[in-house]
Amino acid sequence: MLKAKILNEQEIGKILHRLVYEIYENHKNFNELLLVGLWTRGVYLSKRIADIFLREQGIELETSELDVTPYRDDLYTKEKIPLKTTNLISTQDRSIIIVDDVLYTGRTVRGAIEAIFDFGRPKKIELLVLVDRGHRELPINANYLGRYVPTSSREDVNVRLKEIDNVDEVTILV
Amino acid sequence: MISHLLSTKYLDLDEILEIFNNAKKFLEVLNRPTKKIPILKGKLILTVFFEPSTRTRTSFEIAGKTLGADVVNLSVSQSSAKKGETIKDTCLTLNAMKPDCIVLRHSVSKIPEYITNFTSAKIINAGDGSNEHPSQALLDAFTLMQHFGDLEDRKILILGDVLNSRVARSNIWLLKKLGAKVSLCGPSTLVREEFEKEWDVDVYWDLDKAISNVDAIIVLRIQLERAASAWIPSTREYSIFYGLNRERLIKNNNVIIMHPGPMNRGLEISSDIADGSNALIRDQVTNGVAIRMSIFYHLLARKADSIGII
Repeated sequence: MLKAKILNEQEIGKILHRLVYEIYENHKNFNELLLVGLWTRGVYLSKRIADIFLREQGIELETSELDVTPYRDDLYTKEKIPLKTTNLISTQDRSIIIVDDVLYTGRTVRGAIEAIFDFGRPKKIELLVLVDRGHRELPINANYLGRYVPTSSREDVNVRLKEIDNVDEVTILV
Repeated sequence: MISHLLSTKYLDLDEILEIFNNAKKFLEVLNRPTKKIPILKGKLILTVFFEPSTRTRTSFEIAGKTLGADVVNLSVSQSSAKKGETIKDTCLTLNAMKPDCIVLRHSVSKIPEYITNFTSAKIINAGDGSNEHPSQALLDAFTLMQHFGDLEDRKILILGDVLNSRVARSNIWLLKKLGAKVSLCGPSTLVREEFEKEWDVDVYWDLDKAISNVDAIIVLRIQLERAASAWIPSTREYSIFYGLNRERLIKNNNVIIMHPGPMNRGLEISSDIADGSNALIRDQVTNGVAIRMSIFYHLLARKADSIGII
């Protein structure tokens, strides 16, 4: 059941623009920067960020897709999860920004960090998320944060993106 | 949903396609600089081979290790079977070591199915007598799908010693499930007339007729240790009538050639065909590892209490 609508299409767009500027301010060498989108919605967010970078700064950023499933710590407590594409080539000496839609326990990000290290030794790893809903179980925080949304653990944060859901919005479901 | 891989008969279409889809993802892993993902970390896989094998056992071992599992190989020379232990006792002993999965090859048909009664591990049939070899059939079908897209109405010929071949049986069930039209060819001692009715396939004894419009040929190894002595008059005669060579394929240029290996070059297949551009034999080997990774994932990576049928 819908409890609240947190972000609409326009707000998501504004947030992504702001995050692009934050990345732009924090980095110098954009050739070594690699956006790693986590399946499913992180992949689309990373592509949007790269698009904005190209349109507004004229800078082409490299993006990759990462499926964290093999690195999850809850693999055997859940029904089997279908595998997705991973197309990372080498993370050696790259500056990485992990891109995901919701930051919750931090366990997915831990898995992503482990995966990235399997592809080389990156210079630096940062984290970008659209929504931080709290309830961290690991010492992980976002470097680039869209919106902090305090939630109860009974609630569900639902991010929908046009690429797969035909609509851009973030809602809280109970 | 199966809980052991004993036969391709028990697999349903959704499961087969899921195994293939995941195998595609695992092929990516095999091309990475670090060929290891921790998806089966902490799982113990035993490969127990009562019959000699190098490629199948190695393929399973690489598959398990790439997924982060611990793989322990037991070969027959170290096995207590030599000392007179029954297969049941061997399995009970192995089971007490708490493996999550046992990959078993045995010269007697249906042994893998029999031992599912004595172990809580998932059993994978890596070849039982002349009965079945499901992981080989899955990698064959996967390789064909990779090439053709889908197998609906594709004509696939299985050539050679069908009678003694576990690969042939597993392939027939599986390829037919995927919509392919399967035909068999070989001398009448090895490709019996009754197979036509029993398995609902076409049977040929004339190779030139059989290959005239097929899309792919799966060439089987002549088992020199068995067939050569009893079922065919001489290997020379066999190679003249049923050996696959350039002259035979001259009218059918696009046909795909597969072989489960090891090959007897010059007997069932000529070298220029085996090494030619139409042969997918090396792809089969690479795909074999990815398919076996996918089989392990299919059987092992799920909730411990989920129940499946055989």
